[in-house]
Amino acid sequence: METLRDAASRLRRAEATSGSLVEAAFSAIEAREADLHSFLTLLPDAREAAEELDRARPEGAGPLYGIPYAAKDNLMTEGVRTTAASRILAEYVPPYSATAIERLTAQGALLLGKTNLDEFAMGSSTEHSAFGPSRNPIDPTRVPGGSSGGSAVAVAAGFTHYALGSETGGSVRQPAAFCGCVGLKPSYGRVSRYGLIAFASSLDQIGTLTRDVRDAAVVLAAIAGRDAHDQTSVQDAVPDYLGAISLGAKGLRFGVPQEYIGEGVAPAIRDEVLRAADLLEAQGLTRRDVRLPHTPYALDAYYIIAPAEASSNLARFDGMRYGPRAEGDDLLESYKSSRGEGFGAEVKRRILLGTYVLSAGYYDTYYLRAQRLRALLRQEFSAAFADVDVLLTPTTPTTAFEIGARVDDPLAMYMADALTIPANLAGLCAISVPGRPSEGLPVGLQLMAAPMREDVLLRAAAALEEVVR
Amino acid sequence: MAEDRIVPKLAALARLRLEPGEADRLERDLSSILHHVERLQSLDMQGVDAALWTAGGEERLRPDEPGESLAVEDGLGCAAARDGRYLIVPGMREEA
Repeated sequence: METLRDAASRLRRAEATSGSLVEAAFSAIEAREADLHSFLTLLPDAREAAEELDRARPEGAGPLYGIPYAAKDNLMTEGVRTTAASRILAEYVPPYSATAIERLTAQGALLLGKTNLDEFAMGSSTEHSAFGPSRNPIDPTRVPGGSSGGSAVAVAAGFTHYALGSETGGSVRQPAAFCGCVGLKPSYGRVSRYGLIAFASSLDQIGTLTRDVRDAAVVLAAIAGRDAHDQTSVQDAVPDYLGAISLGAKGLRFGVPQEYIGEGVAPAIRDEVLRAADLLEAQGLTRRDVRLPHTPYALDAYYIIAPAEASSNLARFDGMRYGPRAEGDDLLESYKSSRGEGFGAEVKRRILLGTYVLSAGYYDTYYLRAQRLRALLRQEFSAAFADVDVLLTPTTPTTAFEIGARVDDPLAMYMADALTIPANLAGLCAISVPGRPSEGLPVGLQLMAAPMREDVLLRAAAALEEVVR
Repeated sequence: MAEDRIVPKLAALARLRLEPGEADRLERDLSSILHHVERLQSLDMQGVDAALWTAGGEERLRPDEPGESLAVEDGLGCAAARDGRYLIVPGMREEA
């Protein structure tokens, strides 16, 4: 499939126009969208916007200029409905756009539509959308992963060259692995969260879904950097990521922690990781032993910390300010009815779980212990990154599962994120790159690097992409 | 392990109305999730400080100065009911 950079080349050589790219995208969407359901909103004025971009195309236009993209529907878009795939925001039209969206717009990128997700980004299959599930383009009987499932489908099905997603526990990397594209989660603080509808603020981060690693570098460079609207965005200058990739990966040190390829990981996926490790060594990377013994507890800590933050963040949705209100005898009854009718099952589950672990008598037992575990994970990663530049692991324990197989079993669903969650808890950058498929289904290979070392991560990822191809 | 019938109390705290069947199911789900995460209790984490900070380990506050903000009209544009610059909400009832 054509990369973003190839499309940019065609535009530069006047072999294509933004208008022709938009028409091609709408044709592809028309052919398959009824089966895949990747979008919640398509922008009807994208054709006019493309014509305007073609008319106004400047000399030396950047690599994103005039190219359509999709954005997960928990990213605020001024004047365009933004639902977070929830009934409680079904008609919400934001008065401003997320900083990441603003930055793409400023570089001439063209928003084609808003993609489906698990409600408020809580889920691993996109089955928890109030507007119905998305389907995996490789095998439509299977889930595309989640929560950024719609964005992964849009990229893997050929609808758009790239898409924005968001991560709290693996919601970009996991669907990328299931759909066979590249999913990048930047370090916490690398990309402004302003205008991303909050799920768990200490974990949330906007990420990219692309068709190769270099495209991820291009999009990351466009959205990264300090933003005065987000005090957790970092001051550090944004490196030249494509320049970093051009240095090659020879001499980089990597480790394959045993804790990520043990029990619960499908043998074919484990074998693919070990094959990739051998190939990287053959390319001149150095392999070192790494231990991360607290990894098995990361999932437990995550399902305490993330719901705790979610229960607080979602308190604002009460039927008064943002959307439909259910009537009640008084204010309190109206709150309860609006939230009871507006939220789906998984969101309610997490709000109640978060309320429990933060309540008097349980805070120390659950929440504080989870935060101590988080500190231990950070210490372990910090020690590991003194010895290696990147860690190589599977992205997911299994390939894409069948639609309906886990939707009634929350613990089984949560296991899909077991290998991606540690990077979120520790604020690392991480990426999923397609490996060799297993029984026709995509397999994701994950690389993780120290916070703010996307340059190293992308160098290794580009090498990995090349050797496993 | 969660004690008997925690969901009604939590739902009241979280301002969530639940249907009877829904509450039963959530009760089972919460019980199994809390049972799973109790593995954390077995870890010796003496002397480990909780990671109550974001990456970078510092708290960043912007200067406490007035800046640009949303116009009232924009901020209230999606409210369920309003009167000019005010939200209209159902009345509050005092507990008997």
